[in-house]
Amino acid sequence: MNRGWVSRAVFAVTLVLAGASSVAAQEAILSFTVEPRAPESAPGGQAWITVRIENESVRQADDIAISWSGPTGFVLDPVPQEVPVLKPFESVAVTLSIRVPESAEPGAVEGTLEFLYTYCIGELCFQIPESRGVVLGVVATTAKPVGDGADAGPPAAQPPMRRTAGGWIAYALVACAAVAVGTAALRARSGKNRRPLFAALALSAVAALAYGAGLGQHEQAQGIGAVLCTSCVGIEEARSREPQLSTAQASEIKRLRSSVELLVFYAPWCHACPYAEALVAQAASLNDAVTYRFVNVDEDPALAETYGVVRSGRAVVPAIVREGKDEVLFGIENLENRLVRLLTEGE
Amino acid sequence: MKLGRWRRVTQGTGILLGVLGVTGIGMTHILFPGLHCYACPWAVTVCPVGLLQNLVIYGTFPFFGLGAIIVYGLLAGRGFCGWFCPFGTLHDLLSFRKVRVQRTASYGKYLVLLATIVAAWALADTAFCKLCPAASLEASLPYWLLGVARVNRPFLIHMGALAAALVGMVLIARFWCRYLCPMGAILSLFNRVSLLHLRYDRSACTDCGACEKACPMGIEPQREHDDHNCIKCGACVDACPLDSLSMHCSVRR
Repeated sequence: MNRGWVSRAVFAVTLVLAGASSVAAQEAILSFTVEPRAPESAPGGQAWITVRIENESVRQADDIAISWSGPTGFVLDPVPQEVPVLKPFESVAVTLSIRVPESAEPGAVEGTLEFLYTYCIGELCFQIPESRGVVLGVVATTAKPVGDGADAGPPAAQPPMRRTAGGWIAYALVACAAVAVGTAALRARSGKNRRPLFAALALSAVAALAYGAGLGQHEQAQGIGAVLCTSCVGIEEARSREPQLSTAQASEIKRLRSSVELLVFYAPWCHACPYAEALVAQAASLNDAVTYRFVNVDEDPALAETYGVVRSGRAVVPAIVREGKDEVLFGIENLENRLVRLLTEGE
Repeated sequence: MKLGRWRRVTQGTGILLGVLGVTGIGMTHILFPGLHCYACPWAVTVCPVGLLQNLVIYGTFPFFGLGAIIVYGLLAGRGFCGWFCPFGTLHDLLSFRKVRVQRTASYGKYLVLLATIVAAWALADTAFCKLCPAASLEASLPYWLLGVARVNRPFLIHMGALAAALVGMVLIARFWCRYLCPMGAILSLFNRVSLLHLRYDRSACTDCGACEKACPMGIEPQREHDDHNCIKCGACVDACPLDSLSMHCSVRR
């Protein structure tokens, strides 16, 4: 980097952004199980299929749409509703019916169930398509046709495309190109004099600071610093599997008599938090005496302070507090044991 | 007064700013002009590398973060590495072997910066922070002492990274700053235009080599004082017997 460092720097930034855009993290977070894989029906009848959708990740899936593509006349009837939300570790079963036309010849008919859903990481949303093949057996029987034989409505509408991963990358590339052209022009005009370049950079810094502050990014920066997510800086590992209480732990929770209220402190961007949330929800489902509420420390830092979740000025998440007790469970390591101990304390 | 003494004062100020939280001041909106973990229990400033990763994960273009970094870059470029960064100060304390810099390897810091941003995007996680030796020293260890962190795999990875960095800096002066620091990589982009800069007077130089021997970054200050490896610490200025090298603070070069 002896000469022309500005253009090389801009090139480096461009490379970073281009590299980042090429490996956008669009991973599937839902699993779809279709039962039975080879349903049967007579012409004019309906073949029933159950789709089990499981969210195996720590992220929430939104707008899960199901559609069917098959030979003419084979349609989903009724058109299934979208599943609006599937929270981390939750699952749902959707029953579908494929109408077989009267004119269908006996034999095997191949079709595809198509799924489309979105999930977001912060403000960044991904749209994930999935599909499962179905072999539909048309059997020759004299069974009475069900319904009036009219075609079902239009195929399931696709959910509207939300913000895509490449949104700000394109914006950044344009900005980098503009800076590259601008600095090159300045260098060409001013030769060895670096004042115009300095002034241009200073002006862009002030503009970026002012615009960023206008967008509230200074508050965002402070917010990110003021909350310590245990998995974010490697104090512990986030877990993406569903929490599993052992039989012994579950029976201990079931035996609880006195009512217990738990507070789960979390941040929406914390990777370890969904595990703690899911575990507490699981414990509460075992015994009505256990109630809980989730507290977003970004929105209610004062409550975190009141309940002693703040350490050295930092709200540490995830943290579980039992109402009326001083002890705080930080993090998710060995949380099942620690939670049972907290719940059964004083029993 | 020698520049080295002033530097002890500013480096001390850097450490004080790094742990100002002990006074009860909470997190501020200020970005730290160096590599200092915001997860440090007593930090009052935001780590620029951590912030950039988080905003890449959010999909937000970091106007505020980049604006602040450009301001720091224009003020001193990598001068902050030499004069302010607490992790750099630790390097200075263990700076025994001022060997020549491996020029090709010194571009490694740009690769680390690239990998940091790409990993944040691809994994939607602050992957660099989990390997950052500054975070090991300033967050993992204190939180372990405070009883929040336990000895587990991430903790051991952190300790491994810290041990490797410590061994590196004992064997090669400013090892992390030379080859791996992503914050140094960002600040180095402004080395040629920053207000704080070195000037070299060829006519006064006898090529005695005193500045090369004194340079913790292992460069030849008389030839490479605007180089991306120069942290503008002024060790060469102090070492020069003939005042051929001098430190200035102005737009004019």
